[in-house]
Amino acid sequence: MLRTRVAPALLALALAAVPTTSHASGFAIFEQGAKGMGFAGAFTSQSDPSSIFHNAAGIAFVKGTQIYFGGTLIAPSSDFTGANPFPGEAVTETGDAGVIVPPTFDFTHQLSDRLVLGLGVHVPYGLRTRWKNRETTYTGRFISKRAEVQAISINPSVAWKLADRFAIGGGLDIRRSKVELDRNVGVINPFTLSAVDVAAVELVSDHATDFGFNLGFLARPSDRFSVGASYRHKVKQEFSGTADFNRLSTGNSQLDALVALTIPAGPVGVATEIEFPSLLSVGASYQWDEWTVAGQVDFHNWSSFDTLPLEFEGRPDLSGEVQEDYENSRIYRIGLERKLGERWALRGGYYYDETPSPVESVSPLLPDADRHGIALGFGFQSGRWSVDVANWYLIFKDRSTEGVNRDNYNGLYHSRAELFAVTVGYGF
Amino acid sequence: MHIRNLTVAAVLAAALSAEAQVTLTAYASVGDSLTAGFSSGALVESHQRNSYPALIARQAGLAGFEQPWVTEPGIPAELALVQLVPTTIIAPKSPLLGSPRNLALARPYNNIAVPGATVVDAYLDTGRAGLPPANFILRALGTQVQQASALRPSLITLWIGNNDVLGAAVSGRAIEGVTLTPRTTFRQYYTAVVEDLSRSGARIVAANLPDVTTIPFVTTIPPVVVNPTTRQPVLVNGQTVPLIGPTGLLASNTLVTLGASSLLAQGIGIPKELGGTGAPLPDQVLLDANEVAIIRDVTAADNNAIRDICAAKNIPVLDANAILADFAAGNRSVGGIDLDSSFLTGGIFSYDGVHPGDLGYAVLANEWIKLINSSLGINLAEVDLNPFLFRSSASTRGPRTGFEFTREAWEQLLATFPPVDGR
Repeated sequence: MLRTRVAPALLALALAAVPTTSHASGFAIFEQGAKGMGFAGAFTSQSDPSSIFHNAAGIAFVKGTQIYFGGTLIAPSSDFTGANPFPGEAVTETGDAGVIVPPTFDFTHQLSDRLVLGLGVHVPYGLRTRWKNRETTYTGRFISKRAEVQAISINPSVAWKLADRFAIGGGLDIRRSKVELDRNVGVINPFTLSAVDVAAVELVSDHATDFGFNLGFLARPSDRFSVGASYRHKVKQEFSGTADFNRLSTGNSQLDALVALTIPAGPVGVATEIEFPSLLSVGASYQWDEWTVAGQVDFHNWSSFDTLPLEFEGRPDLSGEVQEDYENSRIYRIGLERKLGERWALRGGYYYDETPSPVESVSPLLPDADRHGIALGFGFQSGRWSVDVANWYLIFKDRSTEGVNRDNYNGLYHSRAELFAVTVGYGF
Repeated sequence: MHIRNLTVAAVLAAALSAEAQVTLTAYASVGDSLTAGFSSGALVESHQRNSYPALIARQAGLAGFEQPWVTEPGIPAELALVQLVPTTIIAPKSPLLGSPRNLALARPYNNIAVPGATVVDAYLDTGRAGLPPANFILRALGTQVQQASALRPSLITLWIGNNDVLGAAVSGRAIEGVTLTPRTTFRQYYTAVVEDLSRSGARIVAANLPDVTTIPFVTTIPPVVVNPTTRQPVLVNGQTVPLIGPTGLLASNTLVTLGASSLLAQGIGIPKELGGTGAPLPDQVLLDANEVAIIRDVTAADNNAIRDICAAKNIPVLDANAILADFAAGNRSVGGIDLDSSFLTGGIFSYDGVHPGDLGYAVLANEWIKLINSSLGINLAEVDLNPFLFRSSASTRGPRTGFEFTREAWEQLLATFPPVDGR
């Protein structure tokens, strides 16, 4: 594992706005610029400064020096209805993710007719699942009360026009990530032969910094037609950190004494790892008069996310792994734009995002589901300034655990999300 | 959406198994203590209420599922955890006994299972000998098999044979024909039981026998000297110190039953150098490797008999052996709470170390329900475990000094397992 200190100022910018959530399936995030979002993310074959994320070759067609920055306001909501045998039909639970704002920042600079440099800061992966009443009555608290993953990508990029209508590009993906997991420990109370909370564990990892890369090409065989493909490599990150065990009194001093023999109190070193998946996007777009239509397929290699190991230092008895066994998944995107005069553009689109999560892994930690995304947006341009605004409405398919959840925590998850993004551009 | 899916699933399941489908109108259960809802050394209504047959009946919405209710503190008196640390004490709640309160029922009980019953008893015993608990359950109205058939049920569950092997584990003596029913006898009577029950016209679902050498009654106490404060083995020169048995130091694979704990507390079985008396533990609290092998061998033979006999009659068999093995291996959890075969902390077994507690019976009921659903083509909901897993009646009883599994508790439990029929 490589650990370095990089670009502290950029990092500060990225961290300032972090808490993130997952709004592509798994815990990928595709909300990297409101213009691309207006096309429902079908942007691999198009070009603006956010191409640093979507397809580095795209910045080869961006003129001059550009700054493009903004954020996405994400308001997710989810609820859960229990099933027998556990937690039971009478149980309903509610998500508590709050409103979260992943940032996006891109900078491009044209060195020559053919060579463009860029720097992007994005949040390509992120997750926040939190549940209401998690310190008290939440029935999933022994599995996960709160899970957060924050992955920031600092992405210095270069793009080169091999010909007027053909460019390649690539970038170094400096990935800085962190994991936080909270849950309770429950044991059987010998006095009641039923379960009781004995500790609250808060696991916080240090930031891990690792490296990946991305590559792409963009071709414009005619004025109207363009086609592109982009690949972002997987990044395996090993995290070390601390799990803080806060003992909870059971109200029974004898049981507390017994628990003290087996459950630690205070911080315990912990290690985990996540292999963030690779992503291949292939897209094409067609332009005629004031219309542009774009289509894209993303191939997300989620099979790299097979387990979430948790190794507690000196405590093999507490160590283990969360089995995930994700499967490779695809996302299908289509977007449309109509220009209204020189300044305005209206956009809309749709995508269908397959969940990589097998039904056994659908849990309070990651209650993932297939989803439909409906995009609406507009762009406005005036002189050196541009503003893009987009709104995504995500309709998740209801996801039942079909009685086979690995933790025997079964029921139906129902989620929705509203995303609102504003990105401001300035050209020098 | 959810409801629609369930409905579709139910319709599909019903369509696929239209032939096999049975309407559950009446249900009878034949068996032993495990079927009677015996828990913590007692037959008592607070636990009978959660016997797996009672839970199945509840999930099926069957009104009037009658059991031979016994009032507090049970017959025998229920065992309780008196103290956990420093010494764990388990003792009867009361010197008194409960009494049957449903004796006047003018028909057989739906749950006709008799604690202590062997397969021979299920076929022959009518309770005429006047000994409890058979006398107040069977009431001289016929055998278990006869009474279950007399109810004209649409479903009979049959889980018999545990006492044909269990007595050997609990009494620390494994002798086929003395503490274990001879395998030929087992096969003969099991066949007869199934034959007669089949004649009732009911759908029958059976269960096989678990490996009784994995129950906490015989797995909790290690065969070495343990420091009662740390609960860790005492080390001398880095080595554990074996307990003393009738033929010398115990081998590391000897099982020591909970019956030894009151003796260990007096220093029996512990070397003089470590503060014990140096006297040996009696054979009846020990199962050596040979005895364990005999019990497992007979269990396997009996399970083969159950498999063969049931297969011939097209009777599905619940693999209770595999389910208990799963718990013994620590492979189960519910909602992040680990459930296993550990004594007191495993969540499955009650204070007698032999029978399940309420949560254990509920888990077991769900295993039955899954098999009943798939084999009868019906769709009973599984039991909601939430109220079993999270109930708040935590109480600290006043500390007192005493033994771990008290002598009274042990003798009471031994009495639950009368000698088997040796014929």
